[in-house]
Amino acid sequence: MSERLQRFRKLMAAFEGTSNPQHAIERGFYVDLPHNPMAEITRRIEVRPASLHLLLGGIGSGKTTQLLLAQEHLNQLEGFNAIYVDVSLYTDISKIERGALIAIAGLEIIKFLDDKKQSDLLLSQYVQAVYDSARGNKKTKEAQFPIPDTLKKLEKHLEDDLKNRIFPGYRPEKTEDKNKFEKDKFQQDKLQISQQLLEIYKLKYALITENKGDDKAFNSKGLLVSQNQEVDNKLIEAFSNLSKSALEKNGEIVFILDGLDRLNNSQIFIDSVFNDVMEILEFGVGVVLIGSIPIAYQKGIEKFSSYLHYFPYLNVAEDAEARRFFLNILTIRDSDNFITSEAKDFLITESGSVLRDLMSLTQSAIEEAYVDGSDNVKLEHAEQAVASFARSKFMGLTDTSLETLQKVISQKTFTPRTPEELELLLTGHILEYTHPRKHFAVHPVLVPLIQEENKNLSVAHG
Amino acid sequence: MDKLFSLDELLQRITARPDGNIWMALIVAIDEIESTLEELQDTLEIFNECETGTLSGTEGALDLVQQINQNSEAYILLYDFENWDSQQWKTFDGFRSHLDQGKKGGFLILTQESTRLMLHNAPNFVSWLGARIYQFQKDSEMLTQTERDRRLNALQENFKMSDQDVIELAENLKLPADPEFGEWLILLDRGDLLERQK
Repeated sequence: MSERLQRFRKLMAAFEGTSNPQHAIERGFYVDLPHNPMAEITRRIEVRPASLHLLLGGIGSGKTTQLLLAQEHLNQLEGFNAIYVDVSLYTDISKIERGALIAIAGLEIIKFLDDKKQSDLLLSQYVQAVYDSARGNKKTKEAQFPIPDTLKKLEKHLEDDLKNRIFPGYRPEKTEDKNKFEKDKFQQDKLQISQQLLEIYKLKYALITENKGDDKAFNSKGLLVSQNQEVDNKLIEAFSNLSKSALEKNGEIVFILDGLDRLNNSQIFIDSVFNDVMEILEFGVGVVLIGSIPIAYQKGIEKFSSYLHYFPYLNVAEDAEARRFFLNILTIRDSDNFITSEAKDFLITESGSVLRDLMSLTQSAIEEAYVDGSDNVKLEHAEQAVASFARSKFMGLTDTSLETLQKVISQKTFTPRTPEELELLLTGHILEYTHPRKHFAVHPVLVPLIQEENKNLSVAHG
Repeated sequence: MDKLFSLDELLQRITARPDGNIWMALIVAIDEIESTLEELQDTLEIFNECETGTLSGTEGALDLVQQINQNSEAYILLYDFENWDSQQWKTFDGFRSHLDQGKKGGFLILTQESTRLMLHNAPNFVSWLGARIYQFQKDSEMLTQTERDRRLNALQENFKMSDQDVIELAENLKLPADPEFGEWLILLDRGDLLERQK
């Protein structure tokens, strides 16, 4: 590989915006975020650990980075155990059902229990509750929704995997000593077993939620709750035992639940996610969870306004501190100064203050410079990167969306009401800022394309 | 979204990228999915210097995510999204974290319609793609003789090598991994030598 290619690859790697943000923190790329709402949240948790905080923020705004830093901060405090969980690694978020978060939280708490004997007992009860829950649900609805072959195969695969973990190299004719070893191994691997069981559970759960017609609901504490609570009660009871034990032995527990901003059905978020979170809080465990911006516009959210925090996009167009922050990000990652100051300035403006877009645009500009044969990333490369990004973002916009975007550009106001308008907010076509006051703007890369489209339409209509 | 006129151009962009969770999407005509997939897999294995797997989404998003979790190849090409509806894309979007396997990321081969559904229903995954959505115009792949000569001259000048030097390097299995060398051989009608580099 040529030296030039190595150099460009290294520079592009510094602007990797899609990997685990922990890597960027470890590489020393973190820059303190101005107007950071997580600072307030962590202070509130310090004085009241068993509290709920819902952080709403846009895609690519840097929420996960802040959650990881909050976890690190809380874990440095005496008697605090902050547990970060990417919920999407456990379950299908788009179909999340009540009970799922409690099951996940319980499995995470098990890791904190250091009394082996008690841990084993609680674990076996918990695994049984999770498994019963899965089987209980399956019995009620499987007849109507038979498990497809692929899921059956997957379940078989997981069960085979379990056997291999429990009895590695097991042969019936082995000696007693060998069997004793295997028994110990069984104890050691219980945590992994429980995770595997949860996988089976969640797959069945995801399937079961295809049909919700016969599951009557009533209102309780502002939440829709299913009448068929028997199986969930088993989970709650098991979770109660676990959390009680963990709080006594390990001190305060705060869950930091990430990934839930990918649940775009606000009603499911309020009904299912909040339901579980309220149950978790009942047992003295704190929760910080992430939600997407459209949740803020969902009817019914006002009941939870005391828990809400916003993670808005900074405003590089009107906030000098925000602009310095973005410039620091570029400077710290481009330590050899390959990117010219004009290119940096342009990239910051065109990012619309969306951190992931800044990373993506900068990577594209570096790539353009490489393809162009240049040794530096110049303004022309940044312009090419912005043009490509704009075309990707423009793609798939409907006439109605284009009209909405045009209105936001010309009237500078926006009140999202329809699903299509909320989608524009979710996808970052329209950005919400709070500095110097709350307002909306179309993503800057799109503005010239929309204005051109509008001009073409005007010409076409005479 | 950029229009690409040849897979070499795409190859050059892919191989310029560092190791990391980088995802791209390529829009092709529905009847060109299979041939594009084969061509990309063969070429990427050489120039990405890693095993490249192909995973079909025909059984739905959940099945595809499970395949990704069980996959051992460093780079993956995902295809068969044509029967996915909005819900499948939402499920895929929810499972985005599973796509970061600490390897080299991957590639989605899509049609216009599947791209439209992805853009509307998988905003979190789309934010990973950024500008890396390309439309491949296969009919435009052929360069004119003048364009071909101009590009060859640029490559000779840039690397200070002759066409014969490059052919000899390839014949002796000493071809550098820079993507331009793959493009160079194809411009010289010596794509057969690329196969030997595996």
